[in-house]
Formats: sequence, C-alpha cells, structure tokens
Amino acid sequence: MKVPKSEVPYGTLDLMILKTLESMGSLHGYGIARRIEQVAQGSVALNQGTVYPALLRLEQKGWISSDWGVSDNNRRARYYAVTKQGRRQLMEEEASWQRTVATITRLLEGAQ
Amino acid sequence: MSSLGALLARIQAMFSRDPDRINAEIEQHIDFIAADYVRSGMTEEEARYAAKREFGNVTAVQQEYREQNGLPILENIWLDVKFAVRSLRRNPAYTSASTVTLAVGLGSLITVLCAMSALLWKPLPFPHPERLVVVKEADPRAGLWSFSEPDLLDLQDRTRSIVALAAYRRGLSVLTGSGQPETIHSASVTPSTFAVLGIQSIVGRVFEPSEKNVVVSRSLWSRKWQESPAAIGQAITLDGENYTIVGVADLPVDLLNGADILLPLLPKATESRTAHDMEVIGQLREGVGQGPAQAELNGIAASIARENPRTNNGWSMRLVSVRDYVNGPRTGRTVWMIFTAVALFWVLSCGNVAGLQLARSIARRHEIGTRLALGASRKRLFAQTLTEGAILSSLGAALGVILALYGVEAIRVFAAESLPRLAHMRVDATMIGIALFGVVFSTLLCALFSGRSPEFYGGRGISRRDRGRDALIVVQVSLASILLLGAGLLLHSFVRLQAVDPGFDAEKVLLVHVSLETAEYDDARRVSFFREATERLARLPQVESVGATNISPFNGTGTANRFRLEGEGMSSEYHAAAWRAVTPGFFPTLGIPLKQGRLFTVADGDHAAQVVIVSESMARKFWPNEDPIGKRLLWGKSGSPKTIIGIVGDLRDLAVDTPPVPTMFRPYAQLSDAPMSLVLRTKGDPTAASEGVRHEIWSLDRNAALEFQPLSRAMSDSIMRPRVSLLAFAVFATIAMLTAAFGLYGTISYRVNQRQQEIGIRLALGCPAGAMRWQIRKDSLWLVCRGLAIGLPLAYLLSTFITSLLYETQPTQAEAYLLVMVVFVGIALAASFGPSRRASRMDPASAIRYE
Repeated sequence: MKVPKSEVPYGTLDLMILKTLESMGSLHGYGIARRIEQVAQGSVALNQGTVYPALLRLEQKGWISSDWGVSDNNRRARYYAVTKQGRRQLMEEEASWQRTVATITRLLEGAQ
Repeated sequence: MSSLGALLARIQAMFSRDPDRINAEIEQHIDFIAADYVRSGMTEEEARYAAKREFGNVTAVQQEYREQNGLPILENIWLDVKFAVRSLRRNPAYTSASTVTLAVGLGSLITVLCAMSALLWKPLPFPHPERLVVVKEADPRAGLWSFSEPDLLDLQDRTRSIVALAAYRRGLSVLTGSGQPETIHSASVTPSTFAVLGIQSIVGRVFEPSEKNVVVSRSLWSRKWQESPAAIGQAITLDGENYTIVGVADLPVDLLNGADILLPLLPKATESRTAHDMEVIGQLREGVGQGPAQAELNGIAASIARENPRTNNGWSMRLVSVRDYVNGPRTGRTVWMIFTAVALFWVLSCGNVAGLQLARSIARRHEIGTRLALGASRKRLFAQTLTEGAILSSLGAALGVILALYGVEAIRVFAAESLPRLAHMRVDATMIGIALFGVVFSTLLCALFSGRSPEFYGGRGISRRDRGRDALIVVQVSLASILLLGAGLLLHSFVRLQAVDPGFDAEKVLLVHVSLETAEYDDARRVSFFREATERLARLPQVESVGATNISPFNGTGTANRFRLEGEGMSSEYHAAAWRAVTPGFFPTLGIPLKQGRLFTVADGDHAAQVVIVSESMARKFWPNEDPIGKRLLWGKSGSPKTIIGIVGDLRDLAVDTPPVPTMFRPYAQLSDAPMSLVLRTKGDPTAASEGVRHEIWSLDRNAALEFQPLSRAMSDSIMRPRVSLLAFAVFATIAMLTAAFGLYGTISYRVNQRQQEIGIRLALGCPAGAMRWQIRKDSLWLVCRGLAIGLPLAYLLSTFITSLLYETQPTQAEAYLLVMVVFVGIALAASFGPSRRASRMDPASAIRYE
C-alpha cells in the first residue's frame, strides 16, 4: 500500500537536518537527504536540492559546521556536523515541537 | 546574538564569495544518486537522468542558495553604485557640472562657517574668556576713549564687580643696540596684566613693576636672537633708554597692540586725567553679569566726575565685550550677512543640480521606460536615482571640503591682518559633519526632482502641471534675485571706490617713516634734523622733491584740534578740525593743488608770523561766504592766533572711502611733532630710491629707524584692506548670480520642452502658432514674476544689512531693482524663446507622437 506523500511542512526541514546530524554524526548533503527520506519512509516528498540552502542557513546561524572530506567510496564531499550551539538549539526546538504536537493532539482529540 | 552572527556571516560571504562551492556540492550530490542507480542496474546515462530528476531544479537551488548567501539589499546597492558610476562616466559634462556646482556651494558655505566659528564662537585664548570685558571711558558725546591713569587707579580702588584689571599703553618703540635700528610695536603693561591675560614666560620670567626689564615675544626672540637662551639678561635700548631682557613669552595677537615687546608700567595718580591712553581689560567677579557691572561703573564714573568736575564732567565708563573689541564693532553683522548670502548660494546650487537632474531625466526616459517594461520596480528605479544623487553629492562634498581648505588658507593669509581672530580658522570635525549634512540634503533634493519627472513613471510626457518643478523655478528666481541685488549694489560700490580722487597724486611717491630716539631730540633739534634731511634728499639724483608730514597718508590715525574763530567770545564752544604739521615741500611733492593764497616757505619759521593753511572743505565750512585769507583762528586752548595764508584742495588721506574732513596745515617749523614721515617724489621706481635715502639719513643720525613704502601701495592697501570683504563678496555674488542664471535657463527650457506634446495637441486643434508662442513665454514669465515677488521684498529687507559695506550707493536704489527685474525677465524670455519657437513650428501630427 502506498503512503500518500506530503510536502515538507514549512520550517521543519531545519529541525530534520539538525536531528539527523545529531544522531548520525558527520554527513554530506546527499547522506542527509537520503537519511531523511529513509526515516520518513516515503511519506515526505523531499526536493533533495533544498537541503543546501537550509544547510547554509544553519551554518550561518552557527548551529552546524562544514568542511571538505572524503566519502566512503573515495569521493570528495562536503561534510556537515552539529556544533555545541546547534545541540542546545536542537534540544530547545525538540521540546517546543513536542509541546506543539501535544497541544494539537489534545485539540484534535477534544474536537472528536 | 546568532542573528547578528548570521548577518556578519552573510556580509562576509558577499566579499569572500565561493561560487564554486554550491556547484561542486550539487554535482557531487547528483553523482552520489547516480552511483546508487548504477548499482541498482541502470545504465550510466539513465542513472544520471534519473538522478537529476530526483535532485530537483538545480537553478532554483542555486538561486535560493545565492540569496541566502549574502544580502540582496546590499548587493542591489552595490549594483546601483556600479551602474551609477558607469552612467555618470558616460556623461562627463553633466557629471562635472553638477559636481562643481555642489562643490563651490558647499565649499563656500564651509569656508564662511569656519570664519564665523573663529570670529564669533571659538573661545578667546585667555583664562576665563567669558568673564573678560574691555572698559572704555566715554565722553559727553558718547565717543569712546581709552583710560587716563588717575581714572584707572580710581576705578581699581572702587570697583567690586571687577576683580582684576589689566591695563596697557600702546607704543611704537625704536629698538637700537642690536643690529639695524627698528621700529616695533610695544606695550607698557601694569603688573596684573600677565595674570589677567594668562601670559606666562616660556624662557626666563616676567618682570616686576619696579624693574627696568622687558619681556619679548617669541617671534622677536627668534628673529633677533635665533631663540638663543643667551638673550635673557641681554641689554637693549628702546627709545634711547636701557632695558634688560628677563623673559620670552607667547604674546596674544588679538590684544596688547600685537606688541613684540612688553615694558613695565605703574599708573600714577599724578598723571593728567585728560591723557586717555590706557587700554583696560577687566575680569568680572564670578557670577557678576555685564549689566550689574555696568551699573556699578556708572556710579563710579559719576563720583569721579563729581570729584574732578574740571576734567571729568559728563564722562562715563562703558563695558565692551572683548570679542567686539577684538573684531571691531560691525564685524558680527557683516559676517552674518555673508553667511546668509553663502547659505542662499548653497541652496541655489543644490537647486541647480536638481534642475540638471530634471533635464537629464528627459534624456533617460527611453532607458527608464525599457527598464519598467522589463519589470523593474518603481522602488528599484527610485533607489537607482537616489544612488546616483548620493554619488554626485559625495563627490561634490569631497571636492567642496578641498575647496574649503584652500579658501580657509586664503582668508588666513589675506584677511588675518585686519581681523586677527581669523588666524584661528580651522576646518574641523564640525565642518565635516556639515559637509555630510550637505550630502544628505542635496541627495534627497536630486532624487526628489528626478523622481518628479512624469517620464519617470513611464508616462508619455503628459504635461500635467508639476507643482514641484514650478516651485523649483520660483525658489531659484527668488534666491538668485536676492544675490543679484546684493552683487549689484556691492559692485557699484566697488566701482565708485576705484574712481575716487584722493586729492593728490600717489604715483612715484615714496613714503619713509622716520622714528628718532626721543631722548636725543628736543623740538628745535628735530626741526633742524628734518630741514637738513629734506634739503639733502632733494639733492639726490633720483628725487624730484621732498616734503615731510606728521601724519603720513593712509597710515595715520584721525587727529583733531580745537580752535575758535577770531571774534568769537571766549565762552563760545570750540570748533574742531583735523590738523597736520608739514614742511614746505609737502604740497608740491604730493601734487596737492593750491586754490588760493600761498603755500609755506622756509621763511615760515619758528620766529616768523604764526600761519596756517586750510583745506577747501574747512574754508567752506567756517567761512562760507567770505574770503578766509588773512583771517585768523585761535589755535587750541591757549588761543594763540594763526593767520590763514592759503587754501589747498581736499585730501582723502586717512582712507579713500572716508570723505575729506576739514583740515588745518601748520608749518613743521612752528609745530614740531614726532614721529614724522618723509614723502619723496622720485623720477623712476620709488623703491629704487630707498638705498640712497637710507644712506643720507643715517649719515645724519645712525640711530634713526626707517620704514619704506611706496605711497601707491599704501593707498591700494587702504582701499583693499577694509574692502577685501567687499570685493570677495562682490566676486562671490557675481559667480552665484551667473550660476543661478544658468540653472534657471536650464530649468525653464526643460519646462518648455516638456510641453511639446500639449503644444502639438493645441496646434492640431487650431491654436495659432503665435498665440501658442506667447502662451509659452507668458507662462515662463509668470513663474519668474512669482519668484521676483518673493525675492525682491526679501532682498529689500536683507539689503539694509549691507549698508555698512556700501560706498556712495543706496540699498534702496530703484535702478538696482529694475536691473534685477530686467535680468530675470531676460533669462525667462531667452530660455523659452528657442524651445517655444521650435514647438510652435512643429507639425502637429509629429508633436502628438512626440516623446
């Protein structure tokens, strides 16, 4: 059975990337996109290219850092990793996301 | 914090752009996907194709990345700047005209503000300058005088509101004993002067009042003693008296007579109360204002007058601010007036640049139309003109500051002699601030006016009434008419001044100021010295004739002596007239015409009959319908009778612009005075004779101090020195007026050009061409008239401020106003003539299509 694909909700891509990098350690852009797709199990239609402006945005905020490195199959690629500041930010955003979800859930259940 | 960091990162990214990074990453990414597909069995080509599809829109990602990386606003500004610079460089005429106009406007504004700040605002270089006042005595007619020594002592004893008094007597001393004899400015100062004026010795010490010691200025020290410490303790001779140098100090240029040497002085109560020769500067008690201090002085002066009715009856004391005293009484007003003119000029120059912008927006309408059509937003186009205005304004301001640096230097060199405070002029941070303000002002004005043009908004030159543009013309006319009126009045004055006949012939005349050591000479010796000197000099081959006078032309100060006419009672009021003591050669040497009677001869000596020659204006004033020859006047207080033997032509020998005053001439042999000036009519260049003259005089007295000056130079200095401001202002006003005229021409003809389409429609509807032309010219005239209606009344109000600068010119002269009107009506007609003729001759069809 096919799960209907939905767009990436606005503003969640940054959180996804941060979480991915936190749990997987250092990754290149392709790796990040792949990992998000895997976790979403096909429920999210990710335009892979969009991770790059997001990565740049996060880097400018100082939440992730990047450097050139060599991939498993010996190819040159740019690797991204969460910074200490990024971890703190992730914790805050996770907590805030949980709260939002809980609120929405309660609302939806109450409405039923 | 993180948002600030992000901003910094973005700004940094603008400059250290790594455009390949994102491209490399995208390429890599696609390679990764493709590699996966290849592993799952696709061909290389299929895999790449699928990978690209999966990645998404590469260009969109690149675009988004680029926008994230860097600041679009800053980049737009950078693009605007680059574009503006390109387009300004493509139009060098327009660019340089605008830049120079703005630079001259702002440069003159800054220069004048620097002068104002030095004259009016910068604190004077004395301790507690706000508490310093000059104290003068005032005679019953409110004429201001210096103090007499007993009055000074009385003031010192009685005043409570003045805590310390500095007092000095101006002097001109002959310095001998070290090199050539030299006349230098000196001041005899009371002991407290050093403290009140904050004068401290830089080498040695200051003197005690009881000593016969002097303090010299730093400039004299370096000129005469090469700044050697050995100068301290050195003996010098001043006017034949011996002194010892005990110290060197920086002496103020503003006060103390600009003296190079200070001598000790202790005022004596035994001196005459009528000898007014002490300059007095007081330090007010802290917290006491000028008003209460003046009230106290009134009481003190009244009590002194009660005690000394014979000498002080009717006299009072007057406080004058040190600044007014240093600058002269009318300087403040003059400076404000010049400032007003320059500020007007600056606004006008900005207006002219705005006018140029308007004209240029016509030329650019195709470009702007194209850009609008291609989707440029109005905001972006406006930002573009704003940028261009800012660049022009900045260029103009930078050039203006450079001009101001030169202007300040020029004023320091040329005007500091007459206004010592100008030596303190500097271009400082405040002025740069004003320059920046100027940039903002002219930028906004430029953008406003190029933004006003209807073409800007893509319209097709529909000639709706543009209030902003019409207002620009009205304002330009009104400002320019004020300047033109001022320039006209001043130029008229200047021409009148050049044409003045001084009453004598100054060409080829050499002036020699002679100071003799007073201790060596009594009256008789002095008279014989000058008789001998004039006889010897007359024999020199380069010299035609020689005379001598106690008051040399254009270097003298006013003189007055009182007298009565014979037959008037002893109780009648005295008359007063200027007087000169001259040798027989004086009149022929200067070419002063004898109108009646005879001139002096050597026979009019000490023991001969006492005689006097009067000037024409004196003869007219005192003997209006009689022949004064043979009449007698009673000289001075003693009332000794002098017979009038001749009448000579009037002289303007104090200043060319001062009308001749009634003057009495006495033979030097009967009225010895010192110092004297020789006048020599030479055969060639006057200065060439000076060596021979020096040799002859020094062979009579080696200690005589001499100063040479061609009379023509003294005369032109006398015209120029007080008139530098007049000439400068007249030249400036002329430039301003021309600038205004050109600017106005441009704006008016732009306005007519802009109406081409309307004109076409009217012609097509059957309007006769002649009526059309007249209509166009009438519109321009109407605008100019509105400008004049504002400008001329303002000019009338402002012109009363320049009355003091005018010479034989009335600020209300109707011709001046007529001239202004004619000039502006002329400009309006000239500016609309060509365009209106072209417009009315156009084929209506093409006029309607005209863009």
